[in-house]
Amino acid sequence: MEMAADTGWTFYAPYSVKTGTNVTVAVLAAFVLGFSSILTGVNFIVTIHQMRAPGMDWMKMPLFPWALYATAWIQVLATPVVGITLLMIVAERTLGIGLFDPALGGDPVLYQHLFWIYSHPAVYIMVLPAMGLISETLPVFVKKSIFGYKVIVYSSLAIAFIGYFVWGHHMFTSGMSGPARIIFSILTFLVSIPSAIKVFNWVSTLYKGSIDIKTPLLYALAFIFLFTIGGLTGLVVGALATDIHVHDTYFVVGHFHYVMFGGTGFAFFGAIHFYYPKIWGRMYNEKMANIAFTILFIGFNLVYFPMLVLGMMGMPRRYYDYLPEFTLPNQISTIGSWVLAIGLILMIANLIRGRKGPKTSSNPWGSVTLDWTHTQSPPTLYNFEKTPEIERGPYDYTNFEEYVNKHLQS
Amino acid sequence: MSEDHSTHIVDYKFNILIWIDLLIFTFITIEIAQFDFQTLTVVIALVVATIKSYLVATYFMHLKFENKFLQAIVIGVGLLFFAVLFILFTDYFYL
Amino acid sequence: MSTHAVSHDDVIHFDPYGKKLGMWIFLFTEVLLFGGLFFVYATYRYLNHDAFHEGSGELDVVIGAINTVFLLTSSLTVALSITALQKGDTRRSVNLIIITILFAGAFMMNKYYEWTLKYEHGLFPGMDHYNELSAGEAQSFNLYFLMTGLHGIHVIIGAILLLIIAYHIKKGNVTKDRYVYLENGGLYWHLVDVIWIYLFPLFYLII
Repeated sequence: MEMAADTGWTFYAPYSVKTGTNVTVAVLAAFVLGFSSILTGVNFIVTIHQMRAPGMDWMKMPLFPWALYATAWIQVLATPVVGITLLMIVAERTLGIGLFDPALGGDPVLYQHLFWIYSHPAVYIMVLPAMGLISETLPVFVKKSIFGYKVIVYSSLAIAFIGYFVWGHHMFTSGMSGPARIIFSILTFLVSIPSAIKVFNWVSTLYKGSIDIKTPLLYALAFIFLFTIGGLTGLVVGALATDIHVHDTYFVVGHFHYVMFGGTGFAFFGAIHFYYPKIWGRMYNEKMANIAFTILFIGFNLVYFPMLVLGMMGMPRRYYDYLPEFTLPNQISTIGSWVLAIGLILMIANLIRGRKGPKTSSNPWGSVTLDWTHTQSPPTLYNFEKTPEIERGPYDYTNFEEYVNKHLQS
Repeated sequence: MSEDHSTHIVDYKFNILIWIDLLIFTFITIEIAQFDFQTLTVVIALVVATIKSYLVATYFMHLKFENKFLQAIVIGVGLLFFAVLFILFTDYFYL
Repeated sequence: MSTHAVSHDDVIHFDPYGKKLGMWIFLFTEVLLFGGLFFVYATYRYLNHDAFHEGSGELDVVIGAINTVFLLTSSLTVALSITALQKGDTRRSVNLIIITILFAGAFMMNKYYEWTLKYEHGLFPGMDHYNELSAGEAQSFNLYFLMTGLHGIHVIIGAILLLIIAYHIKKGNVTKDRYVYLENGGLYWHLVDVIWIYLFPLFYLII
C-alpha cells in the first residue's frame, strides 16, 4: 500500500532507498522545486547586473537587492548538487543502482555529505533576504542611514561564500574523520563572524537615531534579539565537544527555530507590515498590530526557550514520547504555542481587515528609497512612471522631509 | 544598462587551429594512459583534460573576448568545485 | 489619480550581454549538477582504486576516443556556425549546425552500441554478470551508466536546442546583428563537450 514518504525531510540513505513509501514522488517533487529556485537565481543575478536605473552603481544599490544578489548566487550554485543527489536516490530506488549501498561498496555518509552541501547553504538562502529586509526597514524608523553600508554588503557576500564550506557541521556524529570535523567546526565559527558584524551594524544604526516606534520597527528589533540568541546557540552546536551532547536533541530544534522563525519569520512579518501601505494603499490598525506582535513575541519565547533547556537536559528529537523529567518544559512550550497561535491569528486578522483601513499617501513612513518615493501606493503597472533619477544614496536622510514631499506621488 | 555586444569575430582558420590542438591533446592523453604513474596518473589525465577544457572555454566559448567579470566567475565556479571536493576528501583521506 | 502606463518599449530592451550572462550562469548550474556525480566518482575511485581499474577494462578505448573526436569536432562546427552568421553567411551557418547535430547523432549511436554491448554481457544493474562484480567494480559501473547516461540526455537536449536555433536562423529571427540565441546554443553545446572531455579519461583510461 502506497503511503506518504516516511523518511523525514533529509531523505537519508539507506532508509530512503529501502522504504516502500512514496519517496520517489516526494524526491522528484523536490527536484522540480529546485528548478524554480535555480531559475529565480539566474533571473535575479542578471536583473541586478543589467537592469538597475541609470546612476545606480553597485554601491548605491539598496541592501535588499544586495541580499537577493548574494542569495541568488547560492541558489544557482548549491541547488544543483542536491538535485543530482535526489536523482541518485531515485536511480537507486527504481533502477537498482546501489550508489549508497554498502554491500556494493557505497557509502551512506556520502549521501549525507551531498545532501548537506546544498542544505546548509539553503538556510542562508532563507536568512539573507530576511537580513536584507532588516537593513531596509531600520533606517526608515530611525531616520538615519544604515551604519556601515559597505560592511553589510561584504558581510552578505561573505556569508554566501563561507556558507558553502560548513556543511559537515550537520554530520559531526555521523562518523566523519577527525580532521574533517575540526575543519568544519573552524569554518562554522568563521561564518558566524559576518552575521555578528551585521548585528553590530544594525544596533549601531539605532544609536542617536530619531526613533519612531512603529510595528515594522518592533519586528526588526525582535529579529535582532531572537536572531542573536539563535546565533549564539549555533556556537554551541558548532563546537565539537558541546555538539556531542546536544546533537539530535531539542537544543538543535530550539536553535534553528530561533534563527529561522525568530529570525527569518519575524523579519518577514515586519516586512509585511512595512510594505503593507505600498501594496494596498491603505494602513492596518497600528494598535492591534502591536498587541499581536507582543503576544507573538511572548508566545514564541515560551515555545522555544524551553526547548533549549530540554536539549541540555538530554531530550532527544524525533521521538514520539519523552521521559517524565522532561514534562514541565514541554508543558510550558505547549502553552506557549497557544499564545503564539493567538498572536499569529490576531496579526493575520488585523492585516486582512487593514485592506479596508484608511487610505495612505504613497510614502506614509517617510522613506527615502526609490520604492517609496517614486512609485504610487499601490504601484501602477511597470511601477515607475518614468525611469527614476538617482539623486542620493540609498539611505541618505539629510533633509528627508523636503525630499520625500518633493516626490510624493499622491 | 546593456553593454555593447562583443563584435569580435573568431575567423574560421583560428577555430580550426584550436580544434587541431584539441585533437593533439586527445592523442596525448590516450598515449600517456599506457604508462603507470601511480597516483600521478589521475593528476596527469585531469591536467590534460583541463587544458582541453581551457581551450574550449577560452576560444570556442569566446571567454577570452568577454569582460573580466564573466572570466572571473567562470574561474570562481571552477575553484568552488575543487574547494568543495577538497573539503569532502578530508573525510575520506583520514579514514 | 493618473494611471498612465509606461509603454512596453520602455521596459523591454535589447540586451545580448544579459542573455549571455544568464546562459553562463545556467551553465554553472549544469557544472554543479554533474559536479555532484564527480564528487561521488572521486570518492569511490579513491576508495576502490583497483576495482575501478578493472571496470575500466570493460570499456573500449577506441569507441571512447572516436566519440571524443566526434564531440570535439561538433564543438568546432558550432563555433564555425557562429563565425558564419557573424559574417552574414546564414546558409553556411545553418549547414554547420546540421553537421553539429549529425555528429551528436553519431555520438549517441556509439553510446547506444556501447550500452547494448554491456547489456548483452549482463553488465546492467540487476543482471547476472553485474551481480557478480566486486563491490568497488559495481560502483564503477553504477557511475558509468549514471554519468554517461545523464551526459547522453544532455547531448540530446543540446541537439534539439541547436535544431530549434537553426530553424530560427532560417526564419530570419536570428541574424547577423542579433545572434545571441545561437551563441547561447553554442555555449550549451560546448559545455556538453567539456563534460565529456573529463568523462573520457576518467572512465576509459584508468590504469
